[in-house]
Amino acid sequence: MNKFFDNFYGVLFKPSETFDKLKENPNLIQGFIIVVLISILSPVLSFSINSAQNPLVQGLELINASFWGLLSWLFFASFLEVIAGIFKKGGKTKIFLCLSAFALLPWIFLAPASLFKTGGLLFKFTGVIIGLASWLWSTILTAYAIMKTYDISPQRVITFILIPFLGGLLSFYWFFGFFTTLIQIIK
Amino acid sequence: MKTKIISISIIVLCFLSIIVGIVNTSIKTTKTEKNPSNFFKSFSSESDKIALISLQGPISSDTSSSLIGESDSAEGALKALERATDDKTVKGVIFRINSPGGTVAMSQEIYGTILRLREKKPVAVSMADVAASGGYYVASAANRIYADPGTLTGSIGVIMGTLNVQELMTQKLGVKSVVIKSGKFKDTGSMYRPMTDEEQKLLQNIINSAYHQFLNAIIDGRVKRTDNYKIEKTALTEQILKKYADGRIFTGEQAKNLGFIDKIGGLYEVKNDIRKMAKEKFPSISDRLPVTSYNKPTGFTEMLFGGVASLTPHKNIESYMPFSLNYPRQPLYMWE
Repeated sequence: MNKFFDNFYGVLFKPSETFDKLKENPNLIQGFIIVVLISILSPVLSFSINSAQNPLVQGLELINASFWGLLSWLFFASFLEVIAGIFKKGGKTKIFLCLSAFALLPWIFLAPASLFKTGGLLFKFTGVIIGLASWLWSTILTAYAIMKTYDISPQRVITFILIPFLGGLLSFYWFFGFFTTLIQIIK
Repeated sequence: MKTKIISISIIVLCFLSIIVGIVNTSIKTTKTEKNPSNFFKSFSSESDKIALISLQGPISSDTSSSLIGESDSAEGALKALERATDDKTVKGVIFRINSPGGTVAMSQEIYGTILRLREKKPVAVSMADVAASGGYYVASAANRIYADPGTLTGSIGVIMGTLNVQELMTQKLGVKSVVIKSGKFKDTGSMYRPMTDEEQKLLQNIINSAYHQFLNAIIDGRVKRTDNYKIEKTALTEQILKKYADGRIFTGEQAKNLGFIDKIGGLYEVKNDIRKMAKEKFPSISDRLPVTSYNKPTGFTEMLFGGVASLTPHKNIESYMPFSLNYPRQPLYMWE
């Protein structure tokens, strides 16, 4: 348990050092728990304890959120592994799964951020700012996780992220450009 | 030890936030029965608004427009109007029309939807460059009609077009059409032969019927309208309607003088007035409601194809042909 707290603190405040340690000893169980907890955060924050919501539906919502959270986690890791494989840097799925799960930790700050919408303590705007900051923090940590896992420079991480993105755009225009033209012709 | 304390503090803080959040949500849902489904949704604006719905181009239920359609096509506008009818956050609707008209049935469908909508919330039409024929037909269902002085409107009437290419086919190309039919009227309006007097009479009856439907729609929508909004309205009489319902077009100014529209003004005036109308209908709402574009794509497919549609060229050779030839042998509420 102490190790978990060390990792928790380390990823948030000393990510470089902690990711190095996690890379040596990747802990998939801790990663799994983090992904499940972060995934169910959004439905939990909208729960209500009055009769307006059915507990069974709430339970199903949690299972659903966990399922999709885990699936996205696995998909993301596999996807990057495929890309890394193309550049002969693959074979590190377990490490990336662990690091990318820890990179999601800033999302827990959505819990205090949610007070700004439910309690009306300040303005909704403050909640949005905290939410965006958590997202940015988590994004940077994910980039860090990619950097550490595959031993690549920050510039290459940007390229790494841009390649699937630009590839997706290219495929989109390739396919839909063709079909749009086809529809224009046969219309 | 320090790291443990900080980690536990953060986790406890988040846990407490969740508890406080759930209790607070519960109180709110008890009070308002509002149940936000997720975190992000609760930050998004679900507050009261005036919906701005646009209708651009010919009115028709073209099937291709539903595949890669634009949100401001007739189909898109119809869907938006239907959504606005049931959306409790929509307190009033501005229907912006820029259309020379279109098919009879689609015009009637939009007209009927606006009539249902205006039972629940005020609807004001803002005419852009052209709102003629079917464009005017749908506008007449609104509580108020606004137009700019130079807007072209009117053209109340029905038109049907077909071609006669018999000479071209037989004499120039040597092609003869062979038709096997179950009744003498089955190929009425065929472009491969001249129309008979009997067929002409039949089609004329259809045109007349659609024309009377047009007049009745305007009478129901405008002449007989009853509402309590204190915003300016002009009275249109049946006599004036019948006198000017001969297909002629009017400028916005002429239409105002005859009572075909209620007020001269652009979107700015409409926004101001619809807020007042909404306030009269729903006294508890703010008198500065935001005006939000409401033609948004609704599903993933529409978002995907909607983006593609905006990239495709809108002008093709068909754009320069008379509209009625795009819809041959169909009665149209269309200004040619």
